[in-house]
Amino acid sequence: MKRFIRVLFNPAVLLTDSLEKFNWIWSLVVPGMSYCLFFLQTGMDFKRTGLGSGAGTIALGIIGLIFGVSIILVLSLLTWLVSRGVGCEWSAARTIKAFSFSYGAPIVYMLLGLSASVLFQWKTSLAFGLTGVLWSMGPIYGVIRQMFGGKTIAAALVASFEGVLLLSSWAIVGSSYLESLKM
Amino acid sequence: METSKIEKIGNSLYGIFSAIAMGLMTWLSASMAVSMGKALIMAVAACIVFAVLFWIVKMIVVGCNTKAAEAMGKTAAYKAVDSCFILVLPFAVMATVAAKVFDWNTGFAFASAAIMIAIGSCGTPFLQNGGGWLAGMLLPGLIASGVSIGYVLLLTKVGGGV
Repeated sequence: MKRFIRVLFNPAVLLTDSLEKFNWIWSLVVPGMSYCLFFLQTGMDFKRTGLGSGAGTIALGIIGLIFGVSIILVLSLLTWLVSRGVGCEWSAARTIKAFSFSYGAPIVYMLLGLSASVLFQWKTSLAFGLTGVLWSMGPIYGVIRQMFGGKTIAAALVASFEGVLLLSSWAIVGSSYLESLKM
Repeated sequence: METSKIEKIGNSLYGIFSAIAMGLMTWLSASMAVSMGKALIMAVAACIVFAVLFWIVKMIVVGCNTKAAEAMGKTAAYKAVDSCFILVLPFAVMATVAAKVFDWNTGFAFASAAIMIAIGSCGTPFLQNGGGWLAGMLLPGLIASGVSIGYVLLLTKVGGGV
């Protein structure tokens, strides 16, 4: 139980022992699925408000999958590059895995949100989806802090920059989808 | 000045930065619903309240995790808790971009999420140093829920449905 809780807040803990041998490519499935489920909920919310269609919802889910994989790949590689400057010895693969496992808790939010959306017809993209995405900032900050040798302010600044990048990318993808619906 | 004193001052700054970040998020949301003057008063009040609150929570959490805190060393224990509170900074930056660039009224949502995550996670350093899950996990979680609910209720009442 304690180990599970520790992993939820700091997935870097996992990498120090059991998951070091885990392939980094497969680890990207975690954020990919998280965003896929998040975007699916968004699509279902759009459909309920008469903005989207069933096919649009599935397309949005696929966009989410691609978005999740690419944004985490970009953010982790960016952090890895910056961390080289402060003498961090983590490999790029290890950084990608740590960032990916930061989505361990959000994926639970997304699954709960999708279940509520399907079973109770609730609009869940904000309450569950966005909360899940925001939750991932905690573990990501924990990973960055570990990579930066416990330098709190530097880690908070890098996490802030990456949070803005994540938010902006999500906003751009979302608004582009909305524009395509209006056409 | 002694190194430990400088370190203590540095750690206290984390709490102050976090409180300012909470004030900023409060202002972002409040300014969209009430007058600029009232929003500013709410923001300053949030800064002061959260500076005190973060300090109290730190004392409670470290105090309830005595064994783990002693194993870590008292200064390191306080620093570990403060390092969790500084997590509200990325949320404040994201909320500012959301409000000013994308024109979203989400400062309030970001603030309550930041409270939940920053205070809720402040006991985890003790779990890694032999602390129990009641004081290391449940207690910060309960405090975070209480603060988050209190913050939302208070600002909704004062801010007239911010």
